Amino acid sequence: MTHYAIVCIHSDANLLLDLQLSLGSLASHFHILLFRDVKQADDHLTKDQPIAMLISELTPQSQTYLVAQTQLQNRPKCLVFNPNEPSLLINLINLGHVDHVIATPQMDLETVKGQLSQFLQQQNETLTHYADVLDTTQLKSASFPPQGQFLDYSLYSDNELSNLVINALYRVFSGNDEHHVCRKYSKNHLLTREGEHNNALWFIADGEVQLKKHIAAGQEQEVTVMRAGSMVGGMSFITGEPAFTTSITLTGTEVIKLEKSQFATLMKSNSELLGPFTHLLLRNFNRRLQSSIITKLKLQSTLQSLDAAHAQLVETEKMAVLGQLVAGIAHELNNPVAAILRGADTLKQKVPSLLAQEISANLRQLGATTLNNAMKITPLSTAITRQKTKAAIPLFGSNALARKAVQMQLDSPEQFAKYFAPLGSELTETIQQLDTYYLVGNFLRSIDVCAKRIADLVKGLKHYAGQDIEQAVFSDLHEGLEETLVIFENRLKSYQVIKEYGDIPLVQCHPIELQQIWTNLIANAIDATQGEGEIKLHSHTMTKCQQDFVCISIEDNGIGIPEEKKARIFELNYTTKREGNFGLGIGLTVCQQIVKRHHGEIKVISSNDAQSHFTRFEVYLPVNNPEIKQRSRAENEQEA
Amino acid sequence: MNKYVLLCVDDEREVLDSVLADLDTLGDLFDVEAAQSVGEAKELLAEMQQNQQQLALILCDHMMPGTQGVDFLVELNQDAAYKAAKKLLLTGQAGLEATVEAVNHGGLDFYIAKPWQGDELMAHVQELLTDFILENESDLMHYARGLDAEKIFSAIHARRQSL
Repeated sequence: MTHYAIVCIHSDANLLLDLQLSLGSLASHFHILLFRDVKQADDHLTKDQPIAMLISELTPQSQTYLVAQTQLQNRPKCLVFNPNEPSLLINLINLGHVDHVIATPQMDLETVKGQLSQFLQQQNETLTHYADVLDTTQLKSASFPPQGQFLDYSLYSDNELSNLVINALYRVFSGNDEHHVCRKYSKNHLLTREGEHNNALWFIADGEVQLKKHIAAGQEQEVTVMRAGSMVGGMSFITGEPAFTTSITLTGTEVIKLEKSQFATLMKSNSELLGPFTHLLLRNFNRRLQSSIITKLKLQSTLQSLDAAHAQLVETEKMAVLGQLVAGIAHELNNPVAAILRGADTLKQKVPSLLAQEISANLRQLGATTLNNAMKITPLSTAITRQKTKAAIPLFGSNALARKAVQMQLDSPEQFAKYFAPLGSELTETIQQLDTYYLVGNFLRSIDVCAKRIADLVKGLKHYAGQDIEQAVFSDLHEGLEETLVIFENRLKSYQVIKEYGDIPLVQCHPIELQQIWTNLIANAIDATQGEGEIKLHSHTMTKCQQDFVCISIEDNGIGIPEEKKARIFELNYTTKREGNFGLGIGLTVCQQIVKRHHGEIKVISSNDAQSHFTRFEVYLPVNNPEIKQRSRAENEQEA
Repeated sequence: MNKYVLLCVDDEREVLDSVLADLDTLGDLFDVEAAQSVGEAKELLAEMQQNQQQLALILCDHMMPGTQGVDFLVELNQDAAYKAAKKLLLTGQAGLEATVEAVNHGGLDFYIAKPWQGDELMAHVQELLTDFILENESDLMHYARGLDAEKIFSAIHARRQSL
C-alpha cells in the first residue's frame, strides 16, 4: 500500500494545527505534512513522496506551486481556502486545476475523504486498504455490476454492504411503495415474538431494536441491540423456524419491512439486488456465528475462573469454621495442659521424698502396690470416694486420713485391721507416706491420659486442615466422626451425645472431605439447639440397587426446620445463621457437593412440631467407590 | 470432722486431682471436698448443712456440663448460708462477660487462670481462708498454724485490746 502525503500549506500556524487535528483520523494511512509556505514545502518534499492531496491557502506564491503540482501525471487533489482575491482562484482554475474550494473556516472532513477516494480510484489503488479511514460506499454504490458478473463483496465493510442494500431498497420503493414497505415505528413496537412464526424481514434504516430471549423463571434477558444497517427476523424468515428472539423497538425506528411475497416479487423484478442481499444475509449470519463462538469462549474462561473461585470459597468456608473452632480448642487444650503441668510439678516434689523415705520393707511393698494400682486404675468418682470416706472415718479418725485410705483403696475394715491397726500412733505418718506413693502413681496415670487427649485433639485438627490424597481410601467413618467430636468437645459439654454406631464396613472415600461434612452437620446441630440438648449419631448399612451403602445420620433435638424452608437449605447463599455461628453459611451446599462427588445422597428429615421437634441429616455413601472425583483440581482437568 | 469445708468443683477429674494435691496440707484444718459437677456440689452442700458444717471457700471451674461455674457462684452468693464463703474461679475459659457477671453478682473473690502454679494457688487460698476465718470465727488460734499466722496473731492481739 502506498503511503500518500496530504500536504497542507498555510501561513497561519493555528490554522495548520486545526487542520492537523481534523485530519487526525487519516494519519494511519496518509502522511499529513504541514508547511508554513511553499518554499518550505518545496525544500522538504522529495520526488519519491507521492502526494494525494494539497490543502493550501491561495496566494501569488502558492498559486505557481499549485499550478505546477496539478499538472503532474499523478495529479493530486487540490483543495484551496477561499482567497481574498477572486483573480487568484480564476488563474489557478485556468492554469492548473482546483478540486474544491474550502469556503467555511471549518474544513469538512467528508469532503476530504470523498476527494481522497476519488484520487485513489484514479490511481487504481485497492480501496479496501483504505476502508478503515475512508467511506468508500458512495463510489461503489454508484452502480451495480452487470448481472452474472462476479463482484467481490469482501471489499465492502459490514456497514457499507448493508447501506448498499438499504439504499438500493429505498431507491426501488421511492414513489412506488404501494405495499407500505418503508415504515416508521414508534418506540416499543414489536417486530418478532420469540417462539412464534415470523413472515417478514426488517432492515433497520435508523433507530434501535432490542432482541430479548426468555431465560428461566419467566424473565427475559437482552441479547443485543440492533442499529441502523442491521437486519431483524432474518433467521426465522429464511428457515421458517419460530422466531428465536423477541424484537422490540427501543426508539422511533425507520425500517423497510419485506413480507415473503413482497420479497419474492422484489427479487424477481430487481435481480441485481439478489447478489448484495445474499451477501448481506451471509455476512449477518456469519457475524452472529462469530459472536456466539466468542461468547462461548468467554463463557468457558468465565466458568473456569468461577470454578477456581468456588474452590477458594469452599476452602475459605472450611477455614472459617476451623477458625471459630480454634478458640474452643485452645480452651479444650488448656485443661489437659494444666493437669500435666501440675502433675509434673507434684512429681518433682514427691519423687525425691519417696526415695528418701526410711520405711519398713513391708510398707515399701504396700507402697509399690499402691503406686502400681494408682497408675493403672481409674480413680473412684468423687461421690463414691465421699461415701466411702464417711464410712471409714470411724476407723481412721479424720476425714483427711479416711479419704486418703479410700483413694488408695485400703479402707476396708479387713485392710485396716491388717495394715493400719497395729501402727498405733504412727497411723497418720504411715498414711501420709503411702499417699505419696499413691499421688505419684495417680499423676503418672493422669499425665498419660491428658497427653493422649492432647494427641487426639491435634490429630483431629491435623486431619481437618489437611488435604486428601488423590486416590480414595477405605476409611473407618466412625473414626472421622469421633475426631470431629473431639474438636467440638468444648462446645458439646452441655450436650448429651448419643452414639448408635452400627457394624459398618470401611468406606472408600476422601476422609478429610467427609470430615468437613460431619463438622458442618454437628456445627448446625449445635447452632439449632442453642447451646444445650441432645445430638444423636447413628450409622447403619443398607443395600440400594444392589450396591452396598453406609448411612450416617446426625440428629439434633433443636427447633427443627419449617417445611417451606427445607427445600432451600442446600442453596448456596441461603442461611438462617446469625453472627457468631459457625462458618460462612454455605456449609450445606459444600456438604451436598462433597456427597455428590462421592456418588452418595444427603437428605434432611425435620419436624418443627411443638411436641416433637428435631432435625436429622442422613448421609448415604456407597461402600465401594473407586471413581470419586477430587475437588476442583479434577474438575479443572476435565474441563481442559 | 472439721467445722469448715473447702469445696473444689471441676468436671475434669485430672484437674480436680491436681487441685486436691495442691491443697492437701489444708486437710488438717478443713474438710477438703471435691465434686465433678455442680449437681454433685449441691448434694454435698445439702449434706454439709445436715452435718452443721459451713462452706468456707469454693473453688470452681467455669465450663462444665449442666450448670456453668459462674452461674453456680451467682446462685451461692444469693443464698445467705453461702454468702460469706470465699469464691474462687479456676478456669481457662470464662470469657469477659462471664467474669464480669461473676464479679458483679457472684461475689467473686479471686480468678485463677489455668494452667496455674501450685504454690500460688495455695497462697491465694490460704489468704482467702485467713480472711474468712477472721470474719467468721472466734477461735482464731486453731487456724494460726495452717493459714497466714502473722495476720491471725495480729488479729488476736487486736481483739484482746478491744476487750
